[in-house]
Parts: sequence; C-alpha cells; structure tokens
Amino acid sequence: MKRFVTLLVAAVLLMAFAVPALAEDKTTVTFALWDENQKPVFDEIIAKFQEHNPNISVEVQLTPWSQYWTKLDAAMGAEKAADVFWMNTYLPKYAAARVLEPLDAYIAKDKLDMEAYVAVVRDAYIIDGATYALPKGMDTVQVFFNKAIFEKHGVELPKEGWTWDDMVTLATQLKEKTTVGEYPIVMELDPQPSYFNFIPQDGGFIINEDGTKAGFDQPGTINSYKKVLKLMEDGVMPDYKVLSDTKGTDLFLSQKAAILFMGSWKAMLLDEASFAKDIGLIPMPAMDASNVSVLGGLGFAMNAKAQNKDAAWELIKYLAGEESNKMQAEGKIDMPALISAQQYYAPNFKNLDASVFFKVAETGYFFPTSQKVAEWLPVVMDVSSQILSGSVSPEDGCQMIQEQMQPILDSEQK
Amino acid sequence: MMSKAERLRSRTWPTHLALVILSLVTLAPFVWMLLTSFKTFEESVRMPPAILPEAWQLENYRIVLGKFPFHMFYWNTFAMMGMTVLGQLIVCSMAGYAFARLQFPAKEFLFTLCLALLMVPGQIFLVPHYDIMVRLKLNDTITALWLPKIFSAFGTFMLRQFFQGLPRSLDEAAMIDGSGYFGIYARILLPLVKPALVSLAILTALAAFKDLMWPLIVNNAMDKMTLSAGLAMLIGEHTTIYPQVMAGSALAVWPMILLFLMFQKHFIEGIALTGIK
Amino acid sequence: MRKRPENRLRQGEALAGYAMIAPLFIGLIVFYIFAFGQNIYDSLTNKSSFGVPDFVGFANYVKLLRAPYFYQALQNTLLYVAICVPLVVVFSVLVAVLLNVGVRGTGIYRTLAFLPAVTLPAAIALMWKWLLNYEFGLINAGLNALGIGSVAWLSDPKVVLFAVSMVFVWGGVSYQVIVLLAGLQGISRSYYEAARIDGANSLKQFRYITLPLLSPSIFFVMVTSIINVFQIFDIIYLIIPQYSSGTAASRSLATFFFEEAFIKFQKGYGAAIAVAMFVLILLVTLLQLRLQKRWVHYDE
Repeated sequence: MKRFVTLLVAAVLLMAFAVPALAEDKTTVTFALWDENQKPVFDEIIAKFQEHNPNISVEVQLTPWSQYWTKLDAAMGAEKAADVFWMNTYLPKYAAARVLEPLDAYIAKDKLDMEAYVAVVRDAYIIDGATYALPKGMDTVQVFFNKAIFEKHGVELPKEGWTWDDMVTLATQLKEKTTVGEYPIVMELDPQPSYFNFIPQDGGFIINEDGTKAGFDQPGTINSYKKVLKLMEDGVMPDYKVLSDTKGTDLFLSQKAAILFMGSWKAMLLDEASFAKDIGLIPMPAMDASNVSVLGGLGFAMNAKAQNKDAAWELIKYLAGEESNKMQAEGKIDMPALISAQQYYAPNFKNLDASVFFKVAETGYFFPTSQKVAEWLPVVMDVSSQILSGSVSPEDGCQMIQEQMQPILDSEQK
Repeated sequence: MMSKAERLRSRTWPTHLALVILSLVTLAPFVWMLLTSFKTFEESVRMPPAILPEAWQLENYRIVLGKFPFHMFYWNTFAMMGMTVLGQLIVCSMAGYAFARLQFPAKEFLFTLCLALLMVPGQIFLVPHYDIMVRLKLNDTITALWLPKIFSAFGTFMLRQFFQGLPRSLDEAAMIDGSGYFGIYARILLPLVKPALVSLAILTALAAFKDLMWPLIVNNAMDKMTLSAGLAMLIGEHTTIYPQVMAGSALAVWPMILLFLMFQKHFIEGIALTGIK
Repeated sequence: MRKRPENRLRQGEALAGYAMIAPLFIGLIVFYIFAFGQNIYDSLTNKSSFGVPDFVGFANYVKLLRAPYFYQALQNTLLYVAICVPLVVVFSVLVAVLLNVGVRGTGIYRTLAFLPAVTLPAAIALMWKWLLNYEFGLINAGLNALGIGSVAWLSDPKVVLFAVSMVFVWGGVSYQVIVLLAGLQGISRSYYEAARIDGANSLKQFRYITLPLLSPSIFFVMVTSIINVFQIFDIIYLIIPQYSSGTAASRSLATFFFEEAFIKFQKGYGAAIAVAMFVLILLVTLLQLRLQKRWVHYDE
C-alpha cells in the first residue's frame, strides 16, 4: 500500500516538474511520412538538410500507413498537422478542402525546373492549374516470381510478353506438382497492386479521361474481376479468406508462393530476402487489352497552416531535389520522379533486375483520382472485397459500385 | 482425523487437473508471444512451427524499440494513469462525502442525475469530447488523455457508500472541536475510507491503462500515444512481421503484470469491492 | 429579521455541500450533459473532418436506418452478447468455484487465472491474431497435426464472430472470477455444514446453496458483461483488418461507430450511431432491472 502511494506521488510530482523544453532560436519544421522502411533513409536526408540549413531543425513524424490518413485528417481538423507531409492519390481531397499550400509562387520565386520530373507524376499534383506537391517518386506494379519453385517442379519460367492465359497454364502445371500449402499465385487484393491494374488491362476503366464517368458498368471491368475469381476457383490462387489474413508478400517471403503481383514499393524488402537471388522480375501478363500498370506516386505537400512556410518550402525543395533523390535511390526506397536521379536507382539492387520497373513505368497510367476520391474509393474497396470473397457476383458488385460512385462524381461537377 | 484429511486430498485431484488445464489455457498465449518475439521472421513462418527459437536473439526488440518511441508510450501511459487516479480520488471523494453526509436542497435529484449517467454508453460523448479538446487546444497532450475521465459518477457512487458506512458520531465530535465540513472530510473521514480509495485507485488505473478508443482518437502524434494506442501502430504497411509485433506486445504488457504481482492483494480487493452491492 | 442559528447552520451545510460537489458537477456538465446535447445536435448535421457543418435534419438517421451495415452490426452485437455473456458467466462461476476449493497451490493458480485481467486488450488481440493466423498460427498447426484442416478463423465470415467471441471470453472471464471469488468467500461455511449433515452431495450444495447465495454477484457479472460486450471494440479493431472478408461479419456497433466517426470522419453520422447505441443500451438496462427481481436473492 505504502509503495503504491509512493509510486503514485512520484509519478504526479514528475508530471508537475516536467517543464516543456525551452524555446530555441531555431525554426522547427515537422515532416510526416508513413513508411517505416523509408524512415531510416529520410533520417539521413534530414540530417544532411540540417547541415545545409543550420537554422532549421526538422522533426520527422512516422505514422504507419494503416493510421496515416485518419491521423492526418484528425490533425488537420485540430490544426496540429505536420508542416510538410507525404501525399498520394488522396491529394485532391485535401486540395479541395484548402488545407494545402499552393506551391506555384515558391516554384516561380526559386525558378524551379518542373520539366525535370516525370510528367505524369508531376501533373497528378496540379489541380485547376495550381501545384500542391513536388514529386517524390513513383511506383509500378509487376510480377515477382520464385525461380526455385519453378525449377523444383520442372515448370518453365514466365517469359516477358506473356498473357494472362499463359500465366494460368504455368500456374496449373505448378499446382499439379505442388504439395499442400504451396500456392502458384498470390496477390494483395488492394486496388493498387491488383484490380486497378486488371480493370484497364481487360478494356474497362475506373474513371474516364475527363473525370465525369465511373467505369464499373463496362464489360471489361466486370470481366477483370471474373478472371481474378477464376484463379481462386481453379485453385491456382488462395481464396480471399487466406489472402486477407496473411499478406501475399508474407506468403511469398515465406517461400510458399511462386508468383507474386506486387508493387515496386516493396522491392527493397524482396531484394533483401534470404532467397532473393531466386527472385525473378517481369512485367505483368497481358489481359485482353494490355498489361498496363497503374502508377502510384508520392509527393511532398505543405500544410496551408504551416508555422514557417519559407522553412517548410526549403525542406520540400531539398527533399524533391537532386541530393535527396540520389540518397532515396541509393537506399532503394523509391524510384525517383526526378529524371536525372533515376540512374542511381537500379544499380543498387543486389539481386533484382530493377530496370523492369522503368520499363513498366513507360506505359503506366496514373492512379485514378478525383476531388471526392476519399468518398468513392472506400466504396470501391468495400464492394470489391465482397466480390472477391464471393459474397456478391461481379455483375451485382460492379453495379453496386457504379450506383454509388456515379452520383459522387456527378456531385463534383456542381 | 488423519483419514479425513487423506480422503480430502485424494478427492482433490480432479480439481487440480481442472486448475492445471485452466492455467495452461491462460498461460499459453503469453508463452507463445514471448517465444515468437525471439524468433526470426523465417522461423516464425515455418510450418509446422518449432516451439523454441533456434537462437534467442533480441533483434526484434531492438527493431521495435528503434521504430517506436516506447519510452514515450510508457511515460504517457503512467502519467495518464497517475493523473486520472489522482483527479478522480479528489473529485469523487469530495462529492461522495457531500452526498453521504451533508444536507442540501436538490441533493436527491443531483445524485440521481449522477447515477443516470452511469447508464449512458461512452460512445455518445466521444465526438463532443474530441471537439472540446480541439477547442481547448489540448489534443496531442497528456492532459487530453485524463481530463474527461476524472469526473466519475461510478467513483462518486462507490465512495458515497463508504462514507455512509462510517458512524455519525465522528462528525459530531469533530464539529464540537470546531472543525468545518471540509476539515471533517479531509482530516477525519478521508483517512477512514482509505481502503475504498485504494480500490477506486486500482480500478481507475486499470481502466485507464486498458482504454484504447479515446487515446486513439484524441492524440495523433506518436510521442503522445499510450501503450494501448501505440500497439495499434505495430501492424505495418508492407509486411506483418509477427516476431516484431509480439516483441511490441510483450513490451506493452509487462508493466501492469509486474504491478499486479507486486500489489496482488490490493488488486483483488479493489476489483472484488465493485461486485459487492 | 433574525435568522435562527439552526437555519444558519443549515445554510452553511448546504453551501459546503454545493462547494464540494462543484468540481464533479462542473465536469459532469461540461463533459457529459453538454456533451450529450452536443452529440444530439451533431447527429443532425453533416459534420466532417474540416469545414463548417450544415444542419441536415434527420438525414443521418434516415441513412442509418437504410444502411445494411447498421443492421448487420446490430445483429453481430446481439450475437456477441448472446455468445459471450453466457460463456463468461458460466466459465467465471466455474473457475471461481474451483479456486474456492482451496487445494494446495491455489495461490499460484489464482495468480495465473488473473493475468488476463491486467493485460492490455490491445495486446490480447495481437497475441490471438497471431495464434489464429490462417497460415502460420499455432492453433491451425495444432489442428493440422490432428489431421484436421486449417480454419480461417479471422477471415471466414462464418467463423470470425465466434473466433472474436472466444478471444473476448478468454480475456473477460479473469476479471469476473475475482468478483465472484469475493462473493463466494462471503458465503458462510455453516450453510454447507448444515447441508452435509442433511446428506446433500456437492452438486446439490452447489445448486441449493452456492448458486442462490452467489446470485447477486452473478447478476453483477452479467450486467457488467452485457455492457462490456455491447461496446466490444478493441479486439475487433486490432484483430480484423479493414476490407477483409471477415470485416462485415465481425463488425460491432462500436466498431461501426468508430469507422464512421473517426476513420471516415463522418462525425455527424457517427453521432447518430452513438444515439442509436444509447437507446439500445437503455432498453437492455430497463429489461435487466425488470428481470432481476425474478432470480436474484438478496439477504435483506
């Protein structure tokens, strides 16, 4: 009892004397990101930045992806968000809410050459003529395969230029020879690494060019879901239950899976796997229309309520600049969107042939988005999970998406 | 007499067996958590699983402690617990005393109002609580974690019961000695309800420690999170490396288990008291 | 006018009374009464993460009553109550009775049995998430060793609710055992001795002495379990990923509230869900109080 009271009193006293750190002369800029694998590299980049700018100190805030958007929204509402943060396809939502600082004036002042960046990524952050983020990098989706599994079963390796049917053939051969607990194909059934590639590959679309129409009534869209479901029915891919319990990448890393559809954002992880020398890398197989990959991209955006906007801009400019991009490329964390820094990326891979990523990027299309992406994307994800788990048919599911998504797009036109 | 004792002992084996099974069921998840936390990723995904790690390595703990500010999680959690307990003891014991010993108009009504709040599910207050914290510019602070929790109808109710159980003659004697009401409360009665205060302290601390939703909502900065909310951050974007998740969980559970082992008697008495009408 | 001293004493007492409940009531008014009203008001607006909310009347309630997920979450929540509450009550009575026998080593057994009560629910969830993992979990490995196929505990819509319930019961029994043990220790030995003289066996003793005399504690365990299960959140939130095939089948009202209000930031809609939960809990509480008289025996 005495000890308990003593502990309690000690805790309270500590509280009372925990004086907030004294204010310093330095300007502090906070910088939020979500990727725990990239953080060590960014810590180094920030250290370099602080060497160049001794009067600015940067505080890096890591919030894991699963919580990042929730926390960002909450922090914005409370006016406690970081000054500089990572942005992706959700950018239009924040731009529309006017919580992002337009960067054009800063770009003009410093005469920054925006032509130095990959155009699709750069343009993704320009909304109604205003630039809201500087490009960080981009990512592509392709197929990773475990050569050892193919060779063990005497099945031919996948070859570039392959089609979806070729893949099914190979996978069926694998399946006939594999034991229980091995999977020919695995995917992570989130939009970017799976169905947002397949929809255009099979001739459908998610949103049309001018952003007015949802494409879930297109036969190609519906068919692409059917093809994925067919893989599960044929037993060449584990069903949705298995894939939503254990990430496809985790199955691949445990050497239980032969083929993995995955984004370049996990390339570093795969390059460092114990069996990385056995991992092959090729573009996705073509469906009826093509084998295009959806391109993801990241950018550095500024909070419209940043405390010290000039310091925040200095940070953004540095992060999107040559030195930072070189460090990111050498750390294998991201394919640079800065064209001059792209040369530094591929040579760092010890095992994977990273040139494939650039090849895929050439034909890629940018992740579809619109102002109200945060309203319709959860609908797409929710209903897609129902389709892929077999609780609604692809026809009904796509109709459900179309009926909810089209009115959201319509309301953007007002 | 001996034979009766022996007979008793021979009849206890089914109880022992049941208790052993029970203990295994309780302990197994903890043991598996600890064993996994020392394994490498490759070991953890091997099937059938090996029970013991090949080498007892601390790599997972090193990684988790490097990625997440666990020292802040500990600090925030214990500061929050300490302040919740202290605040609740002060606020509720004063009100409990007033409701038990003093006469004032509308007392019954106010007490009933207080009790009625016990019936209301916490979710209904969360959106407004969050907004109040934003308005007070208190989110991302430790204060936000404990402030709404110190006004406890339950604590008031519980302490009122204890104050009522004390003899009236104490107050009268003190009154004759010239004590005011606050003096009676602070110097005479409060020390006498110490067991109830300890119980309330333990219950409050335990509830504050376990709460997930409120800390998850009100604090966004990683260095302002509690252990409970911090654990929600362990599920990563790229892979779920369970040895690391288990290392993080182990780091989060030991402090309360240690406190429990140290003050087991008080914990049990505290929890038991709540069940007595 | 001269006041009688007694009157002045009364006034002083009343003043002291008000002063001493003031801190509590300032808090209750701000954080509960005002917050309650504010929540009702919020539920009539389209409040979201940023921007000024508009008044939308009963639109959120209409949306709620038309949302299939609401009914599913309601149904799931009632199922959680129907599964977890009886299991928690039965197991906690059983464990408490076992621990009350007083065999050698009871102290150690008791300490072990209480461990889950002092463990973070978040950690409990993560521990079980790993044990129940489809591919690499210990439980499926055990089933496989017995020649039984793997079960997708956390992602098969038919199983997930039971798996979550199992985890809840594992974590929830412990606390209630402590409450019941105290109740058991309050039962006088003399009852049992009298029964033994009458030739009643242990089962009969349990049925005719332990159960009735323990019924107030059991009632308490039941009421708190119902309230806890009604608001089940932590375990589901940490154990079931969003957009998994187990999400819809395991979603409770509290997780539904959290998703809408604090993940999608439809706070107005979330406020309406909270009001619905309030009404439901009110109904359940009233029902309990009514049924209580039928089976709970108090000494007085």
